Amino acid sequence: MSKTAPLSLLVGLALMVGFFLLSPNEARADNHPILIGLDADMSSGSALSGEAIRRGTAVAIAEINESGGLLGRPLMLTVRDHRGNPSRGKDNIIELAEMKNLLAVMGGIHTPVAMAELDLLHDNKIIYLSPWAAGTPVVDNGKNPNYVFRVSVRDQFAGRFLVKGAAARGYKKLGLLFERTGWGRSNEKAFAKAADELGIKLTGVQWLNWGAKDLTAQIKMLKADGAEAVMLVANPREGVIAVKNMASLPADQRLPIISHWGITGGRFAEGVGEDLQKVNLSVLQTMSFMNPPRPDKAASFLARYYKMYKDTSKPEDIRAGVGAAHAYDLMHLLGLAVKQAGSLDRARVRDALEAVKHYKGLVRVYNPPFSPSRHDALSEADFSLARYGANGILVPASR
Amino acid sequence: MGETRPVFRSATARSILLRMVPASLAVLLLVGYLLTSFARTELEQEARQRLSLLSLQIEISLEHEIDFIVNAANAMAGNEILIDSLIDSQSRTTYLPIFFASLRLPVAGESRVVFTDYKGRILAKTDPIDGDFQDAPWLRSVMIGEQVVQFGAHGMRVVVPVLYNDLVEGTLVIDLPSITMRNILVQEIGETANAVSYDGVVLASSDADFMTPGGDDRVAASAGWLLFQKNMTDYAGLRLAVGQKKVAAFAAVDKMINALFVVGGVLAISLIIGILTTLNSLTSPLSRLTAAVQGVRSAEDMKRKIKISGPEEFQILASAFNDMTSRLLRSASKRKYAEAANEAKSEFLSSMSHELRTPLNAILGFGQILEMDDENRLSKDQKESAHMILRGGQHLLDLINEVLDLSKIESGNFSLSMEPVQPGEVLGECLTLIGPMAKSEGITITVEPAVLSAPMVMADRTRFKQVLLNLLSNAVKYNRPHGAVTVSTEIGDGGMLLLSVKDTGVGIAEDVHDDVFNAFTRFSGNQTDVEGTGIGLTITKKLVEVMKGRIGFFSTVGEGSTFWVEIPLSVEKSPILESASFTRNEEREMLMSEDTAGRTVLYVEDNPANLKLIEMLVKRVPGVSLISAHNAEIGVVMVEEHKPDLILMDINLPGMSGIEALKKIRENPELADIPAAAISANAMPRDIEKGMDAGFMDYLVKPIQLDQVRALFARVFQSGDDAASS
Repeated sequence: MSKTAPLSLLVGLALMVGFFLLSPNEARADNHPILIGLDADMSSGSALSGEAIRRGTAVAIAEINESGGLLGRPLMLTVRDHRGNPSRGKDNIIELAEMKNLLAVMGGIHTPVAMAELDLLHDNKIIYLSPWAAGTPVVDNGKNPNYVFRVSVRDQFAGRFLVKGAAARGYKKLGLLFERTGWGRSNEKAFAKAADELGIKLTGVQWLNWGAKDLTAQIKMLKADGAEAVMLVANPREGVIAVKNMASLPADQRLPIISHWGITGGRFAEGVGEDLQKVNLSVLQTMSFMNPPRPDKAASFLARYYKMYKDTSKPEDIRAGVGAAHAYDLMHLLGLAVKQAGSLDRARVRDALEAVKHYKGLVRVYNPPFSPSRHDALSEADFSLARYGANGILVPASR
Repeated sequence: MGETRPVFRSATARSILLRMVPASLAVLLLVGYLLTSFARTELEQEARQRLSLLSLQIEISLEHEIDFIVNAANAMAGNEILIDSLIDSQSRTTYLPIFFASLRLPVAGESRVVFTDYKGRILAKTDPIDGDFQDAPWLRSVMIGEQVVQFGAHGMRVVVPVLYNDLVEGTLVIDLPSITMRNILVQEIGETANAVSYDGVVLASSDADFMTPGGDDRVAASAGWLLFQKNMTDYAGLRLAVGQKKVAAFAAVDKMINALFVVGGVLAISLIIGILTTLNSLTSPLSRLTAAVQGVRSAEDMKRKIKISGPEEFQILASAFNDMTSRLLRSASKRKYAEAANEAKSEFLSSMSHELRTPLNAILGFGQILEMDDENRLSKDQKESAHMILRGGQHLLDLINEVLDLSKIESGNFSLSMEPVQPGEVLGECLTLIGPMAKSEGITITVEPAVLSAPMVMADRTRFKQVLLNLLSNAVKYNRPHGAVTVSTEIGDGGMLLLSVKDTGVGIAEDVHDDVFNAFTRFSGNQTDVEGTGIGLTITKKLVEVMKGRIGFFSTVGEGSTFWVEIPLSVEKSPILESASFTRNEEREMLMSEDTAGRTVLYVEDNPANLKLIEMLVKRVPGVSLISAHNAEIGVVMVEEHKPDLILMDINLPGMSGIEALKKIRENPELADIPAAAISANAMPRDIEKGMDAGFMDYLVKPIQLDQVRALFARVFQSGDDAASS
């Protein structure tokens, strides 16, 4: 999927050149494209999520540019790959911050990277749009003014939603298998709070490392502690290992897994393969193109999407679709904020984002999307659980 | 060579020792040299092989050690907590420093471990470090997934990538201090030294003499080391050197040389002892043999016998010697007896010849006087009688001479003086002698021109002349009256000159051909008047044979005979003589009266008959006066007084002999040039030789032939004139 990244760059470049040719000489300075940075994993374990985000952003940018751009200037996407590595992410931000016409940076799936970038983003007053990273502290970062805006899951809500979901399935004792990063810790807090509120017992937490090769020990520990279900917070690579390790247990000893959506950011289904059917796995989702909350909007989006990405022709073809949908909505919200601010000054646009009143997006109708005290546009109500179908396609789970 | 002499003093012993000992030592030295150099080569090869093997072992162990560190680094880089800490940037500060502080690598406690992010920025470290690795040259390599192992004065650095999802997200650096690196790189193995260099610079060395750390690994190894170097296959730039001190490597050779010296010394000593004892066993019988041989030589001590002892060969030699001396003793006594008999025969012949000649001298001398006496003319009968007396005497004389000659030839007591001789010249001389006889018979002698120019032959001139004379005289004697003699020549086969004398005589009957060359055989046929001794051809045949020639004849009765001789040709060429035909009509007058005018001849002679004969002879030579002395003493005084022109000296004189007298005369320089001739009845060649040696210019054998005296006079007086006039 990363192969298409240079293609999109070329498209952007072509657009830019087009504007140069069309614009009168004196207006050329003003007509420089407005840069939207993309800082995500484009090549590593969650590359699928990065590509999904890029595509959603690109569709939105195409629509905006088609309708005359922002303040008469076109938008252009510039992509930086951080591979989920905070060090790379920070370097990407430094690099993007130096770009004159940068308006905002679209983030990726990785909470730890976003967390590591917070200081840089705020020091440089860069609007950070988060279409996937769910860590509560990404948004609740203590910065004032807060330049982070999210259309995605918030761990705090996700925890509550997933614990509820487990409880609804009759699991009273939940074991936690979380990645040992800021994201994992963000979820630990959320799950603890939710369990406490919902009267569900958390039998214990087992931490898993990035790069882990076997999680059987952790699963066995969770079982030993009496867990009836495993709550998983992990990225695709480690998620595959967790599910495969679970599948490797005798059928009667396997525990159902209810997973945060981190595993959907990569080639999870391919990684697990046939074992996928051996494990009772549910995964958090927001919207699904298989059953879109706003079908008309989804249809127009899909029409453009299929047109731009020739490898797709039906909803099932859109991998990690949540990333695309969230990024699409975020991009349009940013556009609305620029229009409302009448300026490309990032501080003013940031203020305007807090002030956008209404937007009928792909995921939901935002009314309003953000407020000065709330930078998370989605709530628990937007969440759902999904399952992997036989072909590895996520389908909404029947309750 | 005394038997008591120490054996090593003997010349034989010295020469054998001198030949054998240095040669043996040289061979030993050569063998030693070859052996040691071969051993050295072998040892060096072996040492190099050993070093090569050792270097392989060290390389394997070294690679194992380095691999171990690299593997440890990789294991650590694969550690989940470490990988996770790359992502967990918020809280890693809480545990990474503790983790790193507690970190002790199994390989080297002293090592420093540094953890960096993908740009070489340090995330964690075990020990303080200045700066970070953002500009490290290895970063690029590590970031494309390679692992880097570097060596330097600071020590060893291993950098491995930290991967997440097979992508490089950070690096792990392990630095080993130089002391730890040295412990890893260098191993003390036996007598060898080893060193490891990186990019040609020595990192560590087990022996500072071998290679100096920090130095160049190509020049570091001194000449005293056998060196083997090997580039390590797995770690580029790393070169291993293994060395062994040559002294240690070649210790075996040095030991061998020492052993060889000892062996050489022992060998030389035992060689000398062996040679001396062997020589002793050889030289003592040899000395005895030598002493015996010398005894035989110097003292003719034939009775001496050698003790038979020693090695078998010497025993055989000794008994052979003893046998030989006893045989020699016997043959010597036989020879003495034979010699004595021969001597007696010679003496008998000599005295017979002398005793016969003295009366013959008188007979022939006075016969001649009688015949030639012009004053008292003899009657025809008297003259006939005198002639018969002369002929008989002459025949007797010839017989005596030829018998003497034959006996000389048969006894072998006869020497030849072979020289190139011109047949033409000798023939000329013969014709001079034969001429008068032929003339008296009316026989014509024809010499073919080819004879005069015939090539030189190798012959004794006198004997050759004798041969020719015999053949010519036979041809004349046995010819018919007014017959002819033809002398011809041709070059025969096998480098021989064929000389033929053809007569026109009665020929020789075929049934007696076989007896022609036998002694005392005469085939005068009806010519009974022909004088001959009957042994002329016998002597001629023997003479021709001793001169390596051949003789033969063919004859037709009634027509004549042809006698031929073959004489070997000389390698020298002969000059061409003037072609001449001698006939008896061309005889020259030999004496000229003016040649002899006023001459004085002294004759020293004790025999009055002989004196009388010469007196009568001299009377017939005009202008020559004879003075005489009857003994040598008076003769010498007379020579001093009269200074004669010629001295005729008898040899057998009472008191002082003729030879002694001549010696005395020759002592006086004034008289030294006076020519002197001997006249003696001693006709044995020994006597003639003695006389000629004493300084006589001629030796006339009695009975005196008047012709000889006349010829002598002619020669002396003519040559004297020639000398005076020139």
